[in-house]
Amino acid sequence: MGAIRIDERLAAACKPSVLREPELILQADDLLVLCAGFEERSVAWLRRLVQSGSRRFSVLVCEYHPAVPQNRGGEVRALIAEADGRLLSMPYSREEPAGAGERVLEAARGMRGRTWVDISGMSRLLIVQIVVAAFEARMTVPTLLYAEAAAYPPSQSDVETAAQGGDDPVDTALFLSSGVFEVTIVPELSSVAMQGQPIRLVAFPSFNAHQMLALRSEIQASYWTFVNGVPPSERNRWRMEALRQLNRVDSIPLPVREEFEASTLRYEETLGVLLSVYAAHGSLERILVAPTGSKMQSVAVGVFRGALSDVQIVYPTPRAFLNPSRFTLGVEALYSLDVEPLRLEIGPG
Amino acid sequence: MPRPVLPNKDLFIGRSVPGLPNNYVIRRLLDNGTVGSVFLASSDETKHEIACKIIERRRLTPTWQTEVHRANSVGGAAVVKFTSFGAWSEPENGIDCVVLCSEYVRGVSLRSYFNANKGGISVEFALAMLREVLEFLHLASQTAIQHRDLHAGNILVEDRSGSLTATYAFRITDFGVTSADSATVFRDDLEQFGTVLHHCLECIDYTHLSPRDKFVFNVLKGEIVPTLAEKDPTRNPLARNPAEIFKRLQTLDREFQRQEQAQSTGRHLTSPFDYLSCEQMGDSHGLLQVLYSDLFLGLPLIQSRNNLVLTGPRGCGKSTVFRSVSLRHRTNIDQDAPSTTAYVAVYYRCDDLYFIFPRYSIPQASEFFDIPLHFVTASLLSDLLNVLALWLGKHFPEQFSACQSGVVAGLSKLLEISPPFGSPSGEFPWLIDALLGERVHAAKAHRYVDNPGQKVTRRLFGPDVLIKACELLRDSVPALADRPVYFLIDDYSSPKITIDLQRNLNRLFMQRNSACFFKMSTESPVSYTPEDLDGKHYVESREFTLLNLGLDFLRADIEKKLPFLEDVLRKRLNAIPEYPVKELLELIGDAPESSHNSVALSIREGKKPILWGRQALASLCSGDIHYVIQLVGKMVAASGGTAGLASSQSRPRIPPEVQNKAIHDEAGAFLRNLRSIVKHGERLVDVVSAFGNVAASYLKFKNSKNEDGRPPHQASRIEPHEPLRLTEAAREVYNELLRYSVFIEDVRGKSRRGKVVPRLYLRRFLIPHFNLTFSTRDSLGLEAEAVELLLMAPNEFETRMRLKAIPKDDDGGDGGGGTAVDQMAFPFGDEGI
Repeated sequence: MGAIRIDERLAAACKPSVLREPELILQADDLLVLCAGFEERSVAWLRRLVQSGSRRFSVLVCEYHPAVPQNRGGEVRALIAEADGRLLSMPYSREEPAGAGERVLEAARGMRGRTWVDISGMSRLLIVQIVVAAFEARMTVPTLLYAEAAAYPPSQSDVETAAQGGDDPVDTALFLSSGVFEVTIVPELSSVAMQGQPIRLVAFPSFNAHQMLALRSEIQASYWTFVNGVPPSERNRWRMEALRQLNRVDSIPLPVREEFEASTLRYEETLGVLLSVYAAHGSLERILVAPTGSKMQSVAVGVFRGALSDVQIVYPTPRAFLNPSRFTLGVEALYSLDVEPLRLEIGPG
Repeated sequence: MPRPVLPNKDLFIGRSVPGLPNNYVIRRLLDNGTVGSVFLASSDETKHEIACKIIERRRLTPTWQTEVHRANSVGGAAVVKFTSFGAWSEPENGIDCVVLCSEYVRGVSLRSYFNANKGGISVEFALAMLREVLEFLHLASQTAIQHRDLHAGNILVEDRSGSLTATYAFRITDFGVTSADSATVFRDDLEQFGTVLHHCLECIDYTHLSPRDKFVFNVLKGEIVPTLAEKDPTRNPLARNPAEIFKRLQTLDREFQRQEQAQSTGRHLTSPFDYLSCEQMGDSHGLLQVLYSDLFLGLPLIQSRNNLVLTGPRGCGKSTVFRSVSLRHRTNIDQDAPSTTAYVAVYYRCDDLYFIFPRYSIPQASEFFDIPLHFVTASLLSDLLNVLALWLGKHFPEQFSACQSGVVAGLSKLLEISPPFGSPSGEFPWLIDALLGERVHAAKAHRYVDNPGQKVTRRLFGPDVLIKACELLRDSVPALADRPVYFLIDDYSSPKITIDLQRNLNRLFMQRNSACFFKMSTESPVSYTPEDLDGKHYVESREFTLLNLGLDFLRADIEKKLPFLEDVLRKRLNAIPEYPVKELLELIGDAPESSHNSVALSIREGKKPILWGRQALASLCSGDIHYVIQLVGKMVAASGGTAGLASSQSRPRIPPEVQNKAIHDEAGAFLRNLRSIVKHGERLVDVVSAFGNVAASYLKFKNSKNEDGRPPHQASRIEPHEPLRLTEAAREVYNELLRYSVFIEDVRGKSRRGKVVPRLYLRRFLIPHFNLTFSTRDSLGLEAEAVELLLMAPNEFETRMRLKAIPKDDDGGDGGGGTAVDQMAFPFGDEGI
């Protein structure tokens, strides 16, 4: 007799791997969903598709509000025109993000072809929303596309300089966002389960240490699980410990803290960690997950929450972005990922 | 293998069953089995129904009658017994059958039930099925009888709707009959039943279960299913032994309680300064017990019979005191004797509301108004019933047993919910489950409130339901006759719990009733609104009592504050057996007494007074116990930690200089953290710095006018001369200052002009940071415009207000006019009180 609980079935399931540099051509009736961010990688997949001959497909651009002037909207429009494609747009408010995943799927329902979602320029919350919406609606999870950047600021020397500049690394960790807007909750990622049980917050240290500060301040968790991201590239491995330091992970005492490591690219490692946390603590604690890690780690969070409705998602939303030059540079490689088999594995329920 | 041909049903329907008295007529086909078909037959004469299984004789072995006897040989009520059997032979119609008649069981097979209820089966249902089938297996084993075909199709779920005890029963039917034309393989009953249980568990939505049900589910899955499949008793002593498996089930609730207790007592302090917030203690009731002091200021008011709004700075112990007086905690630590239990307190943390109603605003359509009330009523009532079941079961078992079904009946009528098919109808568990289901219903309904065409499909609980439920409990359970229910609503604070959500829920929380009282803790006076969506404004001291712990601490004498702080720290120091210091006095000592005026004079002379000792510690506290504990922890760390204390020869163990440095460092750290607060962090720091710097300049250059000795002006509070008329932007900053308790507001202040104005007290531990004293004599008197300027342009305020020299007309006397050049340009006044 096989596994009974959904989390066990998911843990036992064969996890699809990310495909590096897959060949892909979109046809008319196909839909590509993307966010035209200001990073180069946010349009890398669209460019690749157009260059490789994709024509007359539709592109749904999630437009972030408040808008950032440096985004690559113009580039996206030009590429769509080159492909003789159709431009659709959907506003996405960082301050009122509820229901965004369902709206993306609604657009996909209107298409006769397949849907791809390029997560490279998307917020982590929107990635989770889209994956969960597909699980909830019991419809095919769109194939996810992802562009890995060539360089991920800040550099090690930037971090070291900043860390030396003040007595508290949290105060100087303003690398990516100037503060946090709030801890966002959206109803579709909320759970009524485990009322009154102590809260375990699963969080991913990031260079925006204010996200962690906001979580610590607003959520008041009883237990903490940190998932420290291991970058795929050896030259970036220093970041894991730097992030631990910046987020003052050690300041949370061991009796209430546990830590894991998981690849920032291979989502299945993060999914494995989340499932082990659920198996160990899910029967007595209310599990909250803050998807503040990498984009691929956010995919894992989406699959996890899609399968387990007693998990609550919380997200510290950045208030404003700093100079876009601080964001990733270039494109290292393109990937695709199809998590639909996982949805099918856990059954329609 | 092709399915054997079954008798043609049309040959039988409408025909009388041969050989039976009272003319039983076959009415309809109920089901097809492997070797026969089951029909419903009824008698018009007796108005009685029976089930008739018809099997073609050629499909039976010669010994079939013996096999049929097996069913009637098993004791107990679960087996559906045969009442008669005989031949049905009509060669002219091609009928050569056997008919087996038995009691007709109204209901469905488990297989059908599972198929119809995927994701909807409860753990209670699984447990009940397990118990009843195990009893059958036990009785069968005593007569060495095997069912031999115990699959989900042969276990019936009998519908007993309307029964006061149980709305269902499990019945075993269709014992395996050897078929002559098939290679019948009889299966092991226990193993087959293991498969049935496995399928049953697959139909349970684990993610919606309570912690207790998750525990039971995991035992059934991980222990009982494998045990049922196990054939070797040497590998598992419960194997092949239904009676022992049955006994194991009886231990589950106790084991769950033990597990909860183990979890709750498994945590210990590793340092006296661990677990600074109540949330960090999680469900550790033992820890909470160790660290809680009943010298808590304000405790009598919290325990009194009134509606209460409790506020105070973060870390002042609001959650700790609420959780400590809750009956669940008292029960967990065995301090729930009826003689000391004057009320039934239920603790509810508003995170639960925040997760479901984030950014809540009042919906356009009034039919949706009650969704949050429905949610909160279901949440509070389910928790109340849970804790009552524990407490009444422990202290009043007979009374509870006698009144439980009446209470459940009354509540189900009030709530308009009926026990679902498959639940023991007279007990709390189904009602608690149903209430948890109502939470899900409310959450779903809220999600789609803005969808066009959305309608409310079920009755929602209004503001009266919870109170009526409490009245019913009070009137039905003698033990509750004079024990009102206290609902302790923790962290009822905007912006998480939006003002609109509060206005909605206040329709319930502000009701006055003798059966229950609501006590809300809120982060600050501005994070709570005293009105409801009907426009009713609730008046403090009439509809509710406001208890501001920060203010209580500011007003309390040192003789009252210090014993409490000492008690809190004593409990922590003594919680670690080997800790080298057990008393605060030994740890930080007592500084020589010196007046505020003498301290101020030394500051004026450019000296930096050294702050240390118990009195200084108590003076630094604005109710924020968390800060005090942390501060002492930092002092210990700076003295070399536990080892340093143990080897220290000095008295006090922590030298005064170390204490002083820690005090100043902590204030600096607070301001740094304040800066990182979303939206207004920078501004808040600028405002408090501007005030602190101006107050420090007054201390340096200005004398207090009300004192004979003309001592230095020592202000650590702002006193507006007139009621504030703040712009919206300034009000936002003002509220943030109160929210984070940078200032503590006394709303009942009276200005020197006789107006009721709010006074703003600087948080006490910031006082040393700005080189001020703890004197509460003077204040910085400001016109309303000046307060606006302080909030909106703090740097400009400081530039204009800060004294750089002794004012020209300050003769060392009153200082009332504030005649420095800057002040002439901005005549705010600065009179002390």
